Amino acid sequence: MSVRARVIKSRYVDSVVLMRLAERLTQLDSVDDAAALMGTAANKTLLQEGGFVETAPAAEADDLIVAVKAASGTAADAALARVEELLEQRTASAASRSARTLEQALELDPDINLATISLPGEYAASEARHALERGLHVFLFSSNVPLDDEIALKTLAAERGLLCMGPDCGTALIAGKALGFGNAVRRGPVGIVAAAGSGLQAVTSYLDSFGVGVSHAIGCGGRDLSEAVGARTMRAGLEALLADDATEAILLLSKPPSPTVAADLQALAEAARKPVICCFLGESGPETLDAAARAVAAAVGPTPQPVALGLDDETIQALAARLSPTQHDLRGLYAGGTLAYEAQLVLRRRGLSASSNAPLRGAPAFEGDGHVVLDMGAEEFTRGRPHPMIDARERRARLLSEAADPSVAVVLLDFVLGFGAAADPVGDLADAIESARRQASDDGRELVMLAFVCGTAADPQDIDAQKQRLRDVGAFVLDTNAAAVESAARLLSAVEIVAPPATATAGGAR
Amino acid sequence: MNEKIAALLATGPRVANVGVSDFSESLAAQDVPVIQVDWRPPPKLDDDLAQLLEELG
Repeated sequence: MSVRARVIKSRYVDSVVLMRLAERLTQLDSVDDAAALMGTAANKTLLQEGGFVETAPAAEADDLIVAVKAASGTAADAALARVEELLEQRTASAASRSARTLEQALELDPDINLATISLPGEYAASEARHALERGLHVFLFSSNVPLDDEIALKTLAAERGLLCMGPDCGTALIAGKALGFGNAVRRGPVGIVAAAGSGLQAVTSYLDSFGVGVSHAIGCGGRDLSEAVGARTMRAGLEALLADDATEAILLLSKPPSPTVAADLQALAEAARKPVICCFLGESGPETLDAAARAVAAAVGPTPQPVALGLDDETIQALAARLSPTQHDLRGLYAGGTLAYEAQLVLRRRGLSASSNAPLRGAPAFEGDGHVVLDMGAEEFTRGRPHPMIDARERRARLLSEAADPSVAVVLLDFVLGFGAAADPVGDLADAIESARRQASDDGRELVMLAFVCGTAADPQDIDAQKQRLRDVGAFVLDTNAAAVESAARLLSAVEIVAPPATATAGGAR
Repeated sequence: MNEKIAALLATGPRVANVGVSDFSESLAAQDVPVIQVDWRPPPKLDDDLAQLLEELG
């Protein structure tokens, strides 16, 4: 096998275009693997770790590095010679108008009122500041922005009377339009301010399924409710929704805030002239995302019925009977961070302890065995890659490696549809699900896959077709994330009754 | 009530998208007016010049 790399000077492309370029190169005949990255120091290390280069190539942050592993040197060179052509395919499909700078964009359209920014973290704050100084609201998708910069940006936004959603803000719905990742949700009387991206997507999708619409959903970014940031964006968002005539009731949604911030927000909620529900997951308020959606829906109309609680007992018993004695553990491989968090909460209420790279407050450190719930959108999984809602490569690899582990009984997966997400989230993983189940089956094991699809009937991906595809490859599809996790927990309990785990297994209490 | 935020909620977003171009396409698909800013990293500054700019900052 031959490994070749090529540096294209001064050619900056974004992480999603890089992902597609790598995919297209990998699909070429005689190419085994390909990587396309910008030439930052961290990316050059990644290329060395991946065996694409022996020594770091001479490249700067605005230089594109493309590397391939191919059957021969000739094949590698031929693939690398096609990079421009493959990049052009992409450019041709880009429909929107473009400008070289923010100033030029404002000259083209002086009525622009908001900048969405998804640059690498080290550049994001200065662009956001730039936008705020020009009087634009900011939706800052980028993560890895220093805390001091976040405080400075949000202070500047408050001084100028602007909204600064983020950093690390994945989702917002402004006047029915999704920024970043967001679902096609009907409009209506519920307003939301959230520091919980996939949680916001789940709640808005559940509301849509109840027939209840959303006026606006304002994102804050994961750190907004920390002591240091002091909920600057959530306060501004709450104030705006309280004054908004179209909004009748408001949900404040977050993972556990700092205690003083939580107390302040609770006080604001109680004093408000509209119903304001605080859902601080695992801390206070509704215990799950679907309960939060029901609570705020009940403030504007009839209380929606709880959705089904997951797999029926007969199915659970049948599945438990098919598991082999080695299988007693759960793996949650999540694209949505709040969904991973909610999964851990549901497991804890069921008396099951899971370790995680993004653990509940006070939960044990990440161990890698026993029950494991991963937030695969976290930084450690997304170095040099787009978010797993766009880029399925890391989750595919993880799913296949988990399938080889004889202790794994059940895998939880989320599929987040909507604008900004992959065109076919289930399709990107379906063959890996099939392969994982077949691999386990060849080893005499039944691997149970439980899936939650977050989305609405109006989303571009066709939610019914996505769910059907999952069923076709042997996964069970549940109506809510909590129901999927509940089903997994009941299955694991049933396993203990059918065949108590051998005392020799590692880990002790679970 | 803050007028600029109220105006954003009332009129909806008109966007300059700086970064991932897919987000521009998603906005355009929702009939949101959007201009893609073809951002590229700033040229690497000489250390002395960077220090000077920082001090002037």
